[in-house]
Amino acid sequence: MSYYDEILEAKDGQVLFLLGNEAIARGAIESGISTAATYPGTPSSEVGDLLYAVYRKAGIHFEYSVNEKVALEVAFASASLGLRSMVFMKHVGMNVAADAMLSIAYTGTRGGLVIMTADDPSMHSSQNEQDNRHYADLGHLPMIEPTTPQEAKDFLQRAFDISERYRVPVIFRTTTMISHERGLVEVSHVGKPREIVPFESGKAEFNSLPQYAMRNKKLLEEKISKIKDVESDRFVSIERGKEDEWGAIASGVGYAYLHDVISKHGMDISMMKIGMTNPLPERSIIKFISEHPRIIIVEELDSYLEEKIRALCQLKGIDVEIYGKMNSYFPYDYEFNMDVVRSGVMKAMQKDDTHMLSIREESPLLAARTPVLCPGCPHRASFFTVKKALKLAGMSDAKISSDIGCYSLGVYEPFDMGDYMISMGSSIGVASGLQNALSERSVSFIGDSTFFHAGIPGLINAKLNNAQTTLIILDNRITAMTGQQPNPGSRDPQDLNAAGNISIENIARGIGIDFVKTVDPYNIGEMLHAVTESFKVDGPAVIISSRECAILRDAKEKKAGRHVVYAVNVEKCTGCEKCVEDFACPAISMSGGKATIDPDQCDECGVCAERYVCPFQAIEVV
Amino acid sequence: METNILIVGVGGQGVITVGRLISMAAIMASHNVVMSELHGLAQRGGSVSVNVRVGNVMSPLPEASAIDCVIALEPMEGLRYSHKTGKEAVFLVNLHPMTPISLSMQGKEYPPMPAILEEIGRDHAVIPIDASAIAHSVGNIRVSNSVLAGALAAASILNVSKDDFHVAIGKMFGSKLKDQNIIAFDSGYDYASNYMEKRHILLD
Ligand code: SF4
Ligand code: SF4
Repeated sequence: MSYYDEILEAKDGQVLFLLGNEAIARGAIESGISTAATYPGTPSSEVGDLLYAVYRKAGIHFEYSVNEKVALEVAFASASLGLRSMVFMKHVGMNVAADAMLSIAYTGTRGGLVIMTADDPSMHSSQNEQDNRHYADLGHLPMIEPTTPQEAKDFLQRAFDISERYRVPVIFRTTTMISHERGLVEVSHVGKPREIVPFESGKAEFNSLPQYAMRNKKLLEEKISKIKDVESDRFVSIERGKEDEWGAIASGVGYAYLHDVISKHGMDISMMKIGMTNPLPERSIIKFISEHPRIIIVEELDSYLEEKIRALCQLKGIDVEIYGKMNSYFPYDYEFNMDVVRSGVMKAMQKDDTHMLSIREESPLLAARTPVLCPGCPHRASFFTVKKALKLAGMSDAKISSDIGCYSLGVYEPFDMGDYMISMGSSIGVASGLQNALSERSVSFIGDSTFFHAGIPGLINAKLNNAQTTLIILDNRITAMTGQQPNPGSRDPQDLNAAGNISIENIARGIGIDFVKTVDPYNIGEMLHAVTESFKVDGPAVIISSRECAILRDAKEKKAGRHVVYAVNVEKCTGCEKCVEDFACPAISMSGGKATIDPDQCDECGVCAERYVCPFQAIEVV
Repeated sequence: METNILIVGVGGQGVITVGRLISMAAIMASHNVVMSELHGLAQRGGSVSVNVRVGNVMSPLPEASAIDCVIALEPMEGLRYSHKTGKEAVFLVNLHPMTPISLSMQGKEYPPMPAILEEIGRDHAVIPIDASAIAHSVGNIRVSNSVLAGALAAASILNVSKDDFHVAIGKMFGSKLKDQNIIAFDSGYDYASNYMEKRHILLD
């Protein structure tokens, strides 16, 4: 049985060692979901990885939708019919889904509808660290935040219950450390899916025309105020300490840090954990604060709780000293950890923090290991070739507009390709805009999945405005950066020619782009020719650089038992360093003045054997 | 009581597998375990780190000064944490260098292994182990992770028995890989025990 199958088959009472995201997926199955939809995004991706692996067996509809907004619309439609449905995404994905979400907040739902967002403090794999708790305020939506993998599962079920009971979508928020934390989780039994509730037409229940939205806004306010009265306090738990004067309030992973700091360093203060962060459990908070005249608030990112709690105290005339971000006890930026929390708590309590590690100087031998494209990655060949083409055309200064995906790593040396990288699909929009100010042609890069997600409107706009740009679509037949998920161009990555794949080339032609060429990036000569030609075009040109992701290819080759060994012929290698300098495959390094290939890392793509990479063709199959 | 183990290496090496194996063994020994994974941007070739915390803990990350052991699947990655961990931390270092492109792009070579070990050894007890070579001799490079787990068990940093590790290996690997992994684990265990005995390294 596969790992994911074991999670699906686990019986009531069994204890598993689960990733937060896996606990959430299991929680969804225990909640009896009928529909789950997502667009993959770290740190939320493993929820989908698990569901994608088991959805047929579990009897649910699961899909990788084209983007987060569509995913939410899909889940919403199913929820409107009374079926429990879920959509999950990374924090910036919620920006894409927000348009639909803020209307669905008004219409409400019939079946349970949970919208999960995985925020990424410290931006481990994101372009910003936006605090999505603000979406709960924006949408007037209830929001639940777990602190452990066990809670991730249990709270999700409660989120479905609340959504169903009050007919309102519920936001379920994690952060990287909750999604990517493993812990012991006791599972319960798999839930039964709900029956479809016969739909009564004619009431415009799910219609957001102003007249209905006016009605729905009032309903939404009523729902939220009921949830505040009945549900919010049920998500509170308090660990009592002996200290009367001090209390601490936290939520999410912040509570875990607080908990360990307090119990480890013998500060015996009471701690309150808030599991529902909108609407806040005001009764519990007021009581806790009245018992403790000094309150420490621990939360990552913005001062979301702190602002609300301060306002509440002002409103109720409670005299309390609050220690949080607003008076600089804790930082507003980056992920917390025990050191950050301990330091803030000790500062508030005016204790000496003697546990901070004094960081020593780093060794002069240390070399940076910036994120790199995999050995054999087709993008490396594409960047190499485009860089060469720009040089040949005397366009080395051309602006490069890149996008979100593995290829965003092209910004690093030696390629230096990424003057711009903003948001999903932005490469083409930015390229369209550049021509208004610059007279020269630009180059833009976008991946297949990102093109489907949000790149198509940009390309239409580029065509409409006759943008002077060459768009290179890096089609590796997968959503690679988030861990190899399918996308519309490649519905089944194991079968690249699966029926129903949507053709990028047809889309580009359909938009009316005249210059559309599909090339194989492993064939540097062919691609070089196409890119050079594209620079002569008036208006947008599209080059589809098509070659499956090295990880995907690697697995298939291994399965098929195919194996070639590439090695450097030391007789031919002159030690010119061109391969490492200009191509920078991680499997190639210099040793004893000659290039050498690490067979454990080499992906056997063979691109380095081309004369463009090694002018002496010293790299050979042995 | 808590024990904190930090596992570091290069994406694709199996850092997460090592973390899961150690966690499973600790669970077999009836400990509570919390593990957290950080992958970064790259699928393969970037720095990856995993924290395993054993004991009555809730937080996914330890205090930097409370790390008991660093398992480095790659020496440079070990060096990266040498100055960021308390001096109590013992370093198990797999002698399998992977040159970062920041060096190779400039035509620079990987620093000599003894120099790296010496740098780490300035502040820490170091147990160097060529897990990849041992794995090769077992006949499968991918079992080097179990070699390192064996070395960890020998260093008795965790209150987890050899048997618990064996059970965990059985749970994590299919029947075919299980035997190879057990041999690898035992080899790592023996190697590290001998090494510590010879050098009179006593860890409490
Ligand atoms: S995962 Fe695929 S696309 Fe991403 S860097 Fe690796 S080979 Fe390239
Ligand atoms: S064949 Fe060459 S370019 Fe391809 S992965 Fe191996 S060393 Fe790197």
